[in-house]
Amino acid sequence: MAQAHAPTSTASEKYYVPHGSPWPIVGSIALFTTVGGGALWLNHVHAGPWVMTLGLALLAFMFIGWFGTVIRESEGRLYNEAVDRSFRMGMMWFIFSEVMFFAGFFGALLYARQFSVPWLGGEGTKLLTKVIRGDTFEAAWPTNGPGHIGGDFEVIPAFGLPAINTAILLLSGVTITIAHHALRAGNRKMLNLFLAMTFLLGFLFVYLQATEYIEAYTHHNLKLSTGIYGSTFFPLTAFHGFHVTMGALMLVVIWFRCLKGHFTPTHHFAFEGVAWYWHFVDVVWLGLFIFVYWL
Amino acid sequence: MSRLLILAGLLAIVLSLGSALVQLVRNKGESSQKMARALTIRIGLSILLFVLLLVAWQLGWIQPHGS
Repeated sequence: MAQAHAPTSTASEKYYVPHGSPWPIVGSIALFTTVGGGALWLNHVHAGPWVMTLGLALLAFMFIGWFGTVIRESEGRLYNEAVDRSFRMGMMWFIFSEVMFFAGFFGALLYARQFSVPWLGGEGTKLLTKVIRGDTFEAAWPTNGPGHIGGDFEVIPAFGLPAINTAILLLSGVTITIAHHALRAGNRKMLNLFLAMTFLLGFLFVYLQATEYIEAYTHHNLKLSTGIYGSTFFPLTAFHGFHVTMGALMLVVIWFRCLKGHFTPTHHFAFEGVAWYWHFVDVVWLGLFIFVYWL
Repeated sequence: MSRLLILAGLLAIVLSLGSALVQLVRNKGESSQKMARALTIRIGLSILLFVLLLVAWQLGWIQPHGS
């Protein structure tokens, strides 16, 4: 597809439309296989995990292929200003969906803490609920609710791994910022070095997060099934960890592109997009650290 | 009071991040430079908030959950 077109960068108003791309259909099949495999797995079908693994492998293949196509097209100067605008609009809508995604999880945490748990404790007009239920549950946070679901548990102390992880992610925010300024200044050596540091810190964060989960399960009896606390704590932190993993992988792609000499001090949208995304996951973690562990 | 300060700090961080996104999408004139500057402010404020959180904890103004 990339090689089938003459450069359109001179025709700034014409929109470059790629033809015959196999990647959308490959992506659809990959997603269907992944989710289908997951559904089979949940229904205890023996082949489930294998089907899901196949789907994930296909998804990885699709990403590598599609990224490669876009990179080749970009380096082949096939993109004009109209395409550039569409990339930026795409980034904005992608981020909008990401903000809504995390708003859902933070909203669930807020609703549980500010409304449903106090109501179960008999606050305000819900006193009758408590009287009818006839239990002695007092509203507090953290809690696993009046049913004491999952039994006694302890929360992860903020000044253990969570604080260390916060420092690691903030440090990665510093390194990506240095890399960003280095790219704009044309200092490629510094760019490559600090970009590599950023994704390595990202992977370290994910590793420590996994360690924290093991500690939670083995030493604190804090599990996904630990009432409302466990069922808000794990999805929030795990989805964030997933985003860090994705962001770090995107940084790796950008790093290889930097090593190959892609991007200029004035044209580097892919770098800017991924750098902004990294700052975004950093801020989400900061919000998470504050709301989950402190306030 | 400490709670409000923390929330205000977080809001300032989100605003600087949002400002960087606006510059990324607009892409006019000095946008790229403004974006880099906004992100630098963002990380600066984040580190400041984290350090203040540690200081507030040391001074006993705030306590984390489960402590």
